[in-house]
Amino acid sequence: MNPDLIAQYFNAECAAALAPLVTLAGGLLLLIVAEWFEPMNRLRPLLFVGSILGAAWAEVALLNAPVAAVLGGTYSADKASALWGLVFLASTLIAWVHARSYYRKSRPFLGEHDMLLLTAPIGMMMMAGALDLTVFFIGLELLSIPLYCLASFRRDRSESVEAGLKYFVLGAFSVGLFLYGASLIYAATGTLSLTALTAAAATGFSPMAQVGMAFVLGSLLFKLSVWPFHLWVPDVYQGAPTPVTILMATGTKAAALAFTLRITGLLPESSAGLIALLAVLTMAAGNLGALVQSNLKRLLAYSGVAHAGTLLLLVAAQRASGELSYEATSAALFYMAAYVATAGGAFGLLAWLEADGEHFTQIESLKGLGRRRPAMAAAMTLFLLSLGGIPATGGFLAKWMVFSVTLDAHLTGYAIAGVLMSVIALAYYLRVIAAMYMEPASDQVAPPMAKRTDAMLATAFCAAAVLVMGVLPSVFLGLI
Amino acid sequence: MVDLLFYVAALVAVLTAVGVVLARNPVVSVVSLLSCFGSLAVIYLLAGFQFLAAIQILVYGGAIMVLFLFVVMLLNLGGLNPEDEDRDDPLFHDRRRSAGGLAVAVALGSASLIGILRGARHLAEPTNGLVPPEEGFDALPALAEAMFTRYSLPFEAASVLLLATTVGVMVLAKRQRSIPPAGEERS
Amino acid sequence: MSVPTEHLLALAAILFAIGVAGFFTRRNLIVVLMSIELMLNAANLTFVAGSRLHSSTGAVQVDGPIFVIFIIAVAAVEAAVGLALVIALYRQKQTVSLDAFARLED
Repeated sequence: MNPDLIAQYFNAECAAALAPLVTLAGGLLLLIVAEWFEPMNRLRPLLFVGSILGAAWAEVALLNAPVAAVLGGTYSADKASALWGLVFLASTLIAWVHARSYYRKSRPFLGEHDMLLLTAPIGMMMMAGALDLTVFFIGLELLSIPLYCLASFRRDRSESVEAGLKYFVLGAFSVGLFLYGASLIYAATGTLSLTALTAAAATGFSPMAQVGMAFVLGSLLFKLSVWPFHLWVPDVYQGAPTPVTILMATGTKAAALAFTLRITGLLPESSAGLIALLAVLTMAAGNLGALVQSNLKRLLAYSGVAHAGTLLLLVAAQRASGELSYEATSAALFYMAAYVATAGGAFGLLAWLEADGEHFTQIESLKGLGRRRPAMAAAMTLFLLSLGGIPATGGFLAKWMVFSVTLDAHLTGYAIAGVLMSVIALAYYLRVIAAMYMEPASDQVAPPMAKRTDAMLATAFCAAAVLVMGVLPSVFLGLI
Repeated sequence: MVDLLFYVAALVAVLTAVGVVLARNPVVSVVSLLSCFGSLAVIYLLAGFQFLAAIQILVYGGAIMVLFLFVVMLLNLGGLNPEDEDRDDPLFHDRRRSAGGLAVAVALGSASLIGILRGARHLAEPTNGLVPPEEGFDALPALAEAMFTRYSLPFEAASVLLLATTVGVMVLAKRQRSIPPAGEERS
Repeated sequence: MSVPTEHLLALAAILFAIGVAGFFTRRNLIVVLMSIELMLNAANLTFVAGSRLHSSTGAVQVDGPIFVIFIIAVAAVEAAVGLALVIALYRQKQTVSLDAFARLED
């Protein structure tokens, strides 16, 4: 090949931009070697954490020296992508730590579990940094395929297999929708590059490209679990192993949001109101669904739908205000960082409870937890309050940022509706807290819980992050 | 003459696609889909995409469809057992469900058709008169250069994807021989 | 071949609609997977038509064909994972019908 061509594409900038992805892929290969080569088996945790930390280090390096576009303008490692990358890595690490104690009782394929888990963030980073629909598409698959497998990882439980299959069938349909939409856009415009497409959209898309864009948006809304594409969420979140649910609820949502924010420029200006309406309907669907749940895992799944609605308000605000606004991106980043810590912590506690028996995720069985396990109940309370958006937690500031961005974009009515929805949401979070503290323990005696140092550390980390984001937000906002 | 061949291939593609959806016996569906892919390959060839036509036959026909056929045979779903066949989707058995599905399909299909027909007016007149160059529109040198420069990230990522898929499928499909002793695993 | 691009695009739209119809009406999971393959092929045909339309003599628009190659690779991946999941379901329930899904309530 022409050496000039190589120099033009594969330079130092490119190496820096791709360093996090390459680190993770290298970690994946080492994990495979470790699985195959018996004496290296014990190195597995070290390799996993090492690759995550290495990738995080590369992302931090990118924060200081962001790269706008590499590889002929198909991938960007700008500041926002690097921060998104850190969010994805945190989400993966939390999921992994909880998985360690969760799978203790069913040992086979733990090495494969780590390999699949390490692949997912590569896909997320490609989705967040994509400047080309091809890169996004492969990133989406790189995230989805491991998740399909992980969701049905516990083949001994029929719920797990069904969750994986349901997720797969709907996911494959949404990919089909995305691809057909992308192909219509391509046939209309002759390009797949987001930069070129944004320029084309500014002068007006042809009807064919508009239909294509509608299909693409539909498939993204599916990944974001927005009404009316949210019906799969409770079943899949409940059926999948809880550590995998952590990754689905936080990482996948963040990646889909990052890309959706990037392509708001391709949507017609008039769509802002429609998206805001979808956002409010999503919040309503999530909150009303959560109100009637008696299983904490399903309740958190519905609460995740409500949060997706709040995040969609940001997309609407971004579209309404026109150009890629700094405020919307930073609000999205802060919100997702807080959500990773909060939902990651809450689902993590559920994984911990669930390891003692499936029925321990019923709200009923949480009664008296405040007396039995005060520290755990306190952590759960903190996470629930943060999900509800109570001041002094990360969740409050995150919501506040989203609503102020929405107000700035003159979507006042939708912002007010969103605030009202958050108040309704408090009802079910407080119900769980009341069950833990106010009600006496049920007759059924819980077995003594095994001490799990790694799960405890992860929970403490999440709780600390939630508190710091609530009390000293400048630590995080300084990064953004 | 060549144009006529396109319309014949298009007709075959549509009919076989309908066959995939309507056939009761999965084996018939698989064979219909194979013929559908074959006629699409003919269309690619006529349109001047020789490489894609070859890939379509080799990968879709040779690998993917054989995989489908293999699973149908493995699970013995070839309609040999009349009970299975009865239980297995009579398409218009559940009318409400079918009507809903058809409505979605018609809505999405007509939306795209309207978009295409209205968008066609916006499409620039091609300068090439739609006549394929001798080496085809998917001329390999240009294709390879783009694949290994601009698209090297998705290319490499696709290899990671294949690796992850191998691992995942192995986990899913392997017989559970490695079940730990009874009592250690929950049922 | 001098067939206008709209005809290729229309054929793709029809195939896509047939795929969607199959996805929503059939209950045999293997046929559902095949319907998804039909949708992917509709996308492929549209990419081909787009590339043919936007190519000019001497300057071939290769983004479309490259996307098609990626789609074919991913179709293989999805077929493998989907069929593995179907086999896992079959081992548990001795069926490949979507009706096997019990509602995952509490």
